[in-house]
Amino acid sequence: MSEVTISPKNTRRPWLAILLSLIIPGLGHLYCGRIVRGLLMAFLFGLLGNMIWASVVFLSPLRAVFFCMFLLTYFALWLVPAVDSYNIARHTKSDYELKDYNRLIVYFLWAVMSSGSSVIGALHFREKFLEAFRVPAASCYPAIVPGDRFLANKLAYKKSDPRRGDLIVFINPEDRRVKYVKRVVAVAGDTVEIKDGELYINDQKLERQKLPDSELDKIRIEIRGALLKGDLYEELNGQVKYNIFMAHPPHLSIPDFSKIAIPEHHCFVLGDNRNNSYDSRNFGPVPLATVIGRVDFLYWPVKDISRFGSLSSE
Amino acid sequence: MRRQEVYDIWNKAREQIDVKEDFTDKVMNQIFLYEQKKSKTFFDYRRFVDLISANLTAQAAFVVVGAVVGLTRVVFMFAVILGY
Repeated sequence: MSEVTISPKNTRRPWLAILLSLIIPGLGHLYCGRIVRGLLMAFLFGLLGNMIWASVVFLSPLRAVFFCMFLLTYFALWLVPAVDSYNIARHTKSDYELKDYNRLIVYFLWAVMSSGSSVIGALHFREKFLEAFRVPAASCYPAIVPGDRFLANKLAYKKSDPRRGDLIVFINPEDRRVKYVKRVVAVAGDTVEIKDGELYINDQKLERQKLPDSELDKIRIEIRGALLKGDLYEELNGQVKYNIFMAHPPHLSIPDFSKIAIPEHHCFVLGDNRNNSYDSRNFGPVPLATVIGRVDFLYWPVKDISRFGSLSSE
Repeated sequence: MRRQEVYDIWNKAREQIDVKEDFTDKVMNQIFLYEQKKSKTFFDYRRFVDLISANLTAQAAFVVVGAVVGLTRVVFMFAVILGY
């Protein structure tokens, strides 16, 4: 009597386990009947993904180091479930007893839920913690070069107000669709005045020290087809130092700005490219309610890769 | 016609049919094939997996495709946050 095999073979295929794990970490384990291990892998993968971004928000001043470290670990951890599920599949007996969850629909649902939660998590993170921006203008040159991309930390001002020297992103008071990035030079209660090209905060002239032109060599930019020429200075504002740029042509000299007091819940912002910036001299002090976050992390520097990382002033 | 007569005629006719030894097997096979055909879905993934498993190059190709899909998925997550 010829034999009819009705029950299907349930061998776990190692290549399929790898394939599933590479697409969604943990899915290969589910296929091999190791649901708990799969869930653990998926959880660790998600956790590390969050740690990459958390390092940018919380781990100042070594955020660049931690960012790179977590990023590398993240990609390594992406491979671990694949290798692990491959080994499990290889050592699974050919008469593997199918579990209730060994169904195509369950794999599909796992993939959809895992991807969906990742997208929702990423959108939430972007909404509440970090937001990326690309700068098209040179108003904050040399700290930010046109084309630079950075992450703004939205948690930075939850418990405190912007401080002098902070680079902030805020909503343009004259057009809410546009966001600006400028440097805070004075905060509520301070007075600001510009006289003969010099900046006075609380009637104290801010000290400037000229820096060698060579510091700009790697980040020279062109404005309307012509190389932007000027001098680089280090400005000392209270305890904070940052670099500013003064373009050369005399017609771009900084106009005087009469003394004003910064009202409560406002700050006064200027572009680092002092005579090429549209800032508080034009639209007045910025309400803190319109501040989106602090510019913390330059993740895509143009021209000079060594600028990658932290953007906080000294 | 009486019932007994009907039965005798059927019984006689039955004895004249040559039922081979593997008749039962054939019937069972037909039933099995029928059941299989009935439950056949649009895409038989088990058969597909078996097909791929028989070819090492195809396996490697699928794993590479999986790696590309997985990497794209990870990069997409980064792009959601780093998009501006």
